[in-house]
Amino acid sequence: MSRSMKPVNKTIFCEGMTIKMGIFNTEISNLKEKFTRFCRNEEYVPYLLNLLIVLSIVLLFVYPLIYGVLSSVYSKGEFSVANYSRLLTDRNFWHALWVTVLYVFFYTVGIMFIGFVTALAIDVGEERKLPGSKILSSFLTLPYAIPDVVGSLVWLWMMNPRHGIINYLLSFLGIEGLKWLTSGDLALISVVLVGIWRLFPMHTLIILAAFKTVPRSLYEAADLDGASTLQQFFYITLPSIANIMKFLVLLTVVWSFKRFTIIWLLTRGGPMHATETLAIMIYTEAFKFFDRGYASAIAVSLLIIVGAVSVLYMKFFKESEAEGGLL
Amino acid sequence: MANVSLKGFSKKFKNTVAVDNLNIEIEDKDFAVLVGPSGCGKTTTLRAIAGLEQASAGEIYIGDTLVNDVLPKDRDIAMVFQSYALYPHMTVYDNMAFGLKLKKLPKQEIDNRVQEAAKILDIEPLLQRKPKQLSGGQRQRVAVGRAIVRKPKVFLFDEPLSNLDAKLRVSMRAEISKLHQRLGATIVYVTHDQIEAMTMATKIFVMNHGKLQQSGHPLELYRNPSNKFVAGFIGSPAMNFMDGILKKENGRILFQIGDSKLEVTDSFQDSLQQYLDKDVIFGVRPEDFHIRPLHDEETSFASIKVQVEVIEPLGEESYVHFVLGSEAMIARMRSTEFMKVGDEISLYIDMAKTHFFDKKSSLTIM
Repeated sequence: MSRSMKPVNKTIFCEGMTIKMGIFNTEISNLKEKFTRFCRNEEYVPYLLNLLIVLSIVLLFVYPLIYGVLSSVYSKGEFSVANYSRLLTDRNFWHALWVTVLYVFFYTVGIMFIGFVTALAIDVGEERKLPGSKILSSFLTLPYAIPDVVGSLVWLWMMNPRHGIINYLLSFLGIEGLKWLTSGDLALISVVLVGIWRLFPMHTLIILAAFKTVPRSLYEAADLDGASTLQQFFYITLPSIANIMKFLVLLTVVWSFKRFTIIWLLTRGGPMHATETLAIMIYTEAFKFFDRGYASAIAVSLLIIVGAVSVLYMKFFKESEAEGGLL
Repeated sequence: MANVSLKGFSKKFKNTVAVDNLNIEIEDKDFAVLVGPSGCGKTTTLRAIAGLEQASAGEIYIGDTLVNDVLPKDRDIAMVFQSYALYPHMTVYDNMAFGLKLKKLPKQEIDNRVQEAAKILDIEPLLQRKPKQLSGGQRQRVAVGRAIVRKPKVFLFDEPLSNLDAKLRVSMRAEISKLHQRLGATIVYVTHDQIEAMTMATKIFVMNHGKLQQSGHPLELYRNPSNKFVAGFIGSPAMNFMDGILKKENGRILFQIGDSKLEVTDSFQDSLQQYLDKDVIFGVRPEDFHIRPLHDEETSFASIKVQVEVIEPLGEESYVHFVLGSEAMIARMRSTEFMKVGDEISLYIDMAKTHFFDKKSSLTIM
């Protein structure tokens, strides 16, 4: 029996191998066919085009992010949460966070308000064909075209307590000696104002574009329905541009958390930390005190805060979007 | 309800004359359709009636009131826009109630009117939806509903069916006609689609280049167009036109086109005398070509030989394309089974139903 079994087993084994080899060969030929089709139909093109973007994201965003996170949790080659525990008890950090929140709040409210008002003025001017409204809109973009450094230097001179033009003009109103950038009370307001001046044209242009997206026929329908200009503004214009405005607020908040250049050029975070936002603190810790680990920990915290704000806002945004929105 | 009249109405946009000295009388409860090609001034006229455009000259009356300087909201009209112009952030209910709320009508009254209009238009289940959650046809109904609730003197429709697909357009056409009968309202309706004009109107105003070409009952315009433009615009497929000369042979007037000569019917002979040896335009509607002469009126039929170029079967009937002289023609035929592309066939023109136009002025001679 055993003798007769062996060849049978061998046959089964061989057949098994043959079948396996067969499957293997089929898979290979399938793959070959897929690859040929992939090349022949130029299906690789989208992958190739995306590869460049993916690589640049990895190199410019993912790598620094991972490096930053690792720097914050590794100290002298060992894993440590010391930077984070220090952060929690560091009064400077909490102060900088508070300054950042104030900066973000006043900056966002201010820039949205000024952007809205100027956009509305231009829109009404253009609608009623007032002379100069087109020139005004071209002039408005000027601050946006000036580099941060140049703009900040100009404002440094203008806000100079002794020789600045602002205090000179205010002196006619009987207001004298305001220390725009060196007084703890005024410095934050000053950097917010200069920040708004620098970027409000972009908000104006976006909001102006939003106004233009509202179909004219809606106003005509409202006209026939008997709505006054003011009622049309509240019942038609505002709801129609609400989604664009919400999105602009989100972008402004995210951007303003990270604003650095103008604050640094005007006050370097002073006087007495009065304008020291988290962005300034990160820079100071990393390049003044050379504490890269601690700076990274603050940067990671900032990232989490901005991320959380964005997620919450987007969630709210999507909910209101689901309720209706534009056609 | 009220009548609408325009007296010497003109509208200029900078150097362009959109509407030129337009005189229109729309009676109470009329379904008046302003029809014409793009840029003929029909929408401008409608918008001027609505008060959305100011007249450059002339007078606009709604009822007995001169409304040139009356604000749109005070003209007691309602308009359905081509794009529907529904407020995207409001529900269907709020869209319909918006105008009434602004008029500060009591809440119960507003609710009654909205519910009533929704019932008429069969949109009750949609009242809490937003416009973007509706199909094109449903949006159309809501736009009409918004007009109905205001109970205006005059309804204005600006190409309301042009965004709908062909099938929906046919059903909405019937619904708007029914609505007109039910409400007994005065309607001014603008369209570029002559089929819409023919099927819905009690009175059509044909416009071209800012001028009124002809007005009247749809069938009157179809049978007796006052000029070549109206003849070509009203009717589908359009009337066939041929350039040719009127000749006299053996005491009879003939229309000569290329080598073919068509004997003009008895009733036209006298009127065409003054156009002898002159260039005229001859017009035949596609349905006035026949395979064989109708027995009882045999004498009024002229025969031509043509080569079939294309046959478009539509089911019940077919369009047969051919060339006569140098003009492309279309004949509407019932049975075309016996013919195929390339065949040479004889066609008989019902000369009693043909039209002649003065070549210079394009006005109808007969």
